[in-house]
Amino acid sequence: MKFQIEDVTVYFPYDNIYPEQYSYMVELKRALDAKGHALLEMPTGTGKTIALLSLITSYALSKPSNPIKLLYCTRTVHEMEKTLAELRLLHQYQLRHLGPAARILALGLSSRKNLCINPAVVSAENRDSVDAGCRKLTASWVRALAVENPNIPTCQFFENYEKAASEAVLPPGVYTLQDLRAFGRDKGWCPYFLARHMVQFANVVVYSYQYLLDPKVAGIISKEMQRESVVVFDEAHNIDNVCIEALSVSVRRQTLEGATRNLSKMAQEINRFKATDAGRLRAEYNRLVEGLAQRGNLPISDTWLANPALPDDILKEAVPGNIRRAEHFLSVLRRLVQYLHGRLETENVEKEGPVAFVASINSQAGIDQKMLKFCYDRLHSLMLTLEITDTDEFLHIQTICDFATLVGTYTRGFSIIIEPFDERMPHIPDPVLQLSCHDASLAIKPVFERFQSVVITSGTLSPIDLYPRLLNFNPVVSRSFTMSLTRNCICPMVLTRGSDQLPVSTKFDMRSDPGVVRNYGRLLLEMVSVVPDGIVCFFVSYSYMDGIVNTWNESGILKEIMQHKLVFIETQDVVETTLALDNYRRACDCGRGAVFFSVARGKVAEGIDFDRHYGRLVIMFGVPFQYTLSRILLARLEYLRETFQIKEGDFLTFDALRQAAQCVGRVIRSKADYGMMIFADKRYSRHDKRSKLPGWILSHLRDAHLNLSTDMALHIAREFLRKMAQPYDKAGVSGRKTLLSEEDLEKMGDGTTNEMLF
Amino acid sequence: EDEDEGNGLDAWERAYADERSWESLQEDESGLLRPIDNKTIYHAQYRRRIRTTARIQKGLIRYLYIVVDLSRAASEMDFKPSRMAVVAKHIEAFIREFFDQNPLSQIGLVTIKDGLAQCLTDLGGSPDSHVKALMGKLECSGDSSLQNALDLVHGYLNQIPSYGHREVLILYSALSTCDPGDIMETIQECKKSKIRCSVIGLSAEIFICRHLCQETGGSYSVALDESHFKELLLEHAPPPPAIAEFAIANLIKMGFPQRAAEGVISICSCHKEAKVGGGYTCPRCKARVCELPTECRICGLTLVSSPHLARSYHHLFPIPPFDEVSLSLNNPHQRSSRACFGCQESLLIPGNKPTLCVACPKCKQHFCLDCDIYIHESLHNCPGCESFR
Repeated sequence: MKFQIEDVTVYFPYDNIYPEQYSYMVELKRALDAKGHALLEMPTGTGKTIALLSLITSYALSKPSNPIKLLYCTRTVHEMEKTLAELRLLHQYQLRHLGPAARILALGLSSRKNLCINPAVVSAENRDSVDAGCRKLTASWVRALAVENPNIPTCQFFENYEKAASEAVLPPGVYTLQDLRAFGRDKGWCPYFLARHMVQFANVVVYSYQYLLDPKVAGIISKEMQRESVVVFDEAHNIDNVCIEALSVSVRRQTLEGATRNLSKMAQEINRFKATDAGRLRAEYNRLVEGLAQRGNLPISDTWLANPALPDDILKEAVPGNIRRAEHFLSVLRRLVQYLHGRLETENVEKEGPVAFVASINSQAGIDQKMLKFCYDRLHSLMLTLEITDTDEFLHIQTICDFATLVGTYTRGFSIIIEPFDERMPHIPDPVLQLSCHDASLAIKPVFERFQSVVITSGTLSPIDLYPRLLNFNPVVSRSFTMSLTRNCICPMVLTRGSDQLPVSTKFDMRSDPGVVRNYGRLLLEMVSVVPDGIVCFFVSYSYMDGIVNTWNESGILKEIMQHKLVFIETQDVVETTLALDNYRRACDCGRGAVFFSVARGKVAEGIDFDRHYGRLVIMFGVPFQYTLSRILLARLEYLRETFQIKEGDFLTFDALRQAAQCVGRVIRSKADYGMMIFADKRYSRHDKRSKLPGWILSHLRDAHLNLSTDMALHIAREFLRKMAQPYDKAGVSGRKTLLSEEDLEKMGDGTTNEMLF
Repeated sequence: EDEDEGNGLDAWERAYADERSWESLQEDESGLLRPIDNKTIYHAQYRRRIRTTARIQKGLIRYLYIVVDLSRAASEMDFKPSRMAVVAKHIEAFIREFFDQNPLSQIGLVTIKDGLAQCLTDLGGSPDSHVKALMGKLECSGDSSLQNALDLVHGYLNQIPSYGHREVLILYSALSTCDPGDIMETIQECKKSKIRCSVIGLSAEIFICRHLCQETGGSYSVALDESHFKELLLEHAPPPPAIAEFAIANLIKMGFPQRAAEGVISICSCHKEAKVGGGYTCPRCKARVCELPTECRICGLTLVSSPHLARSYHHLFPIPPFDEVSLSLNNPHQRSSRACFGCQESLLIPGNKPTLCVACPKCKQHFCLDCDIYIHESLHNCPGCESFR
């Protein structure tokens, strides 16, 4: 269908549109018009992605003189492929209506692991080894050697790509990763380098968060993007954590040992070069004297990581004299590693700010701040000079230099925490030194500054006013949309008491109470006997899950549950969990029924959908607060309070509730679906907790469902499931229209739309 | 401490306040409350039903197995007195209704208990024997297995001659199925043998049941309460549309036995004992049978009586759905038709306002909504059209 939003003709590939999609587009358009940032919350299953894509591409089409570019960031490769598939559908529709004028180039970009087509390289098991394998074949010096000596292997796809030079372009169209690989195989060109090259010319680029947020990667990939771009962060409810992780480093004993090995290997290399090719080292020295940390324009295959600090903070000056010589630099690094070793030996937990830490390095190891700051660039330069291709071997020393550069660059928003053992397992010594970033706004600031519109969107962004404070930006539009439903297909409940009327909670002083454990067990037992197919349970942590499942096992509750449904458990092992999920799905398919025990903040809670019969009920046992004794969390809370005036309690509750919302949101992925959500903790009935749930859950949370006991919840569940099993009219009854056709949209002006929806 | 007591109402009061049930009340001119009129809603539901079934080839000779789930879940008390008792009660009514509407068809009963499927009665045409057999076996225990039941029924129905329509109706209490093997294969087997499987659930929607019904072309429904359950069950009484590739016309050999003279003593072929009077005599082999319709035990001829055939006839020629019309008062031509042609009640409600009414597309006579339902569901003849003959 085709319709008008103010001056833009929107091309939408489906015949009908949901009202909330329409108002989402209207808001988005306003943000684009104002060239400002937007924060939009809309529940999953309402077609957020297609609404975004069709509005932004249509907007670009309507302004052909100054087309905007779309940078779409997703969390996983799977989401990337899904987005591109939707975009293809949209593109075909636009081509049908507009002809060749609508042609665009859209492509996905991912790591070599996902794009490489050289069978010898891609067979390596992890990302770093694929990267290194690629470098071994494509580094400029390797290729230079190969010209003289044909026995040195090179990558034929890369050679072909280089040979084609400027002719190596992608014709317009929409390319998923798979299409890119197919195209590469067809032409004999390397799809990875082709995609990286074409990113600059593409109208739409779909890639992962890291390509914009992690300065190490962003410096290479996203350097040349134009200002007239719209950046979209999809599923962005955890964006603050991504930002923080991008600037945090942790160092363990293994890292230091690895770094020592790396250093001695580099020393050997330097000696070898001294003997054979001393000129090379001298040339590097001269370059450094002139203030060039890197050779001006590196060939595309030689760049691998840029500086971990943000572009604005990198000094444009010469590398300090005392680390210009390779062997001097190595001895600095050795001292640094030695110093960190010493720090890790500590018996107590230590917490320090970067300034104090740098001062102590200076006094004890004789390395000043400036040297630290240049560590990363210097290492990079050295590794290029030494022609090291197996970069995956040198990850440890890179981590150390990352750490040094960050610690030398930033004085605020970071802290260094040394813990001699894990708080939860005090008997096992496992010292770790962490440089943790507390300020999510640091990493995302360049993005807000560089691009004219940044859209942050997700199904759960509540409370929506907290994100601008955490990320320190001013959105021109910030709205939360609810779902228009033909029937009440979600049924959230707050369960505060067991059948014996005793309160249930995972509060610290109550969680091990046998009464609470028993009531939780009875709740699950009752539910498995009335809910068909799949049930998902979320616990607050692995240790709590282990404990409660053990108790249930001893008291025989688990056995009774197994009479109704099979039980599967998420573990920290990815392979085991995948297998469990697989079998869980099979049990749901064949009618046996199954329960999946999982952990909030775990892998399952974030990325796996339990839609349709795979999840008819989700039970959230307790409030998933973060481990509040964690030093990193405490340090971050302190920083948030001092810098952004966000109270500790507010942040903790916000964080716990967004996790809970994320967990329960797993069960409903489309409007045709239905599911129940039980929040089993008395604290959920309190206003300050409950009000932080997203609007689309709150609007279905009836007052009568706020303070339930197990037997009442059971009754409600029975009724709900019966009601939902009845056939229903998908288009919605006349009074509450949930599908709008082209005529409907024409009929209503802007004013009436809002009236109708809210 | 932290409840936000919005406006001094209790939670249960607020629930009613939210629904605003008083707004659906209607007043007449004099300010008196008018009873809430659900008639039009019922009528709309009913019209949806007849629209879907109009004018398709029907399978009149049905071989239906009713599978009753007597697993542990059947003892639940959410239906009063228990699911099992309610199911049994309505099966009885259903069996009678079924034979009334499908005199040429046969029913068999299967139960699921302790994970096993058991055949209670073989296919037969006598309502009483089925009902008696079921009532004697009403106890439940153990798990339920859909696959075992389907396997058993599949074995029986596979031998049915090709003109008969093979159907299974499963009344499922449990929420899971404990199967010995891959149930998906069994479903494919049923699909291959053209067995139409329908399920009525008693508690909630189960994926595997929906899958089974979708694959085999049956219908899946879940009962809200006892009256709804009865309704859903009776929906299975009229013959379903024939499966397309199955609906080849072919001739069936049938015998029309004569009733034997009273007082004659003969050996009954169904009970294997001497009986006095009553029975019917097979026209081909002269054996005596007690009831019609049936298959002759001796020569295998299908035995029916002509009223049975006649009673199935209306399914083949349903009355077309009536058109909805609204009476306009000013039209003089319609003066005569202000009353329902069926019951002669005025079509104007008090206050001289026209109500919704329907007209037969052939004879253009007007009928009220009640007569509409009566004509389509019970009478199967349009009084207007008949009176013109």
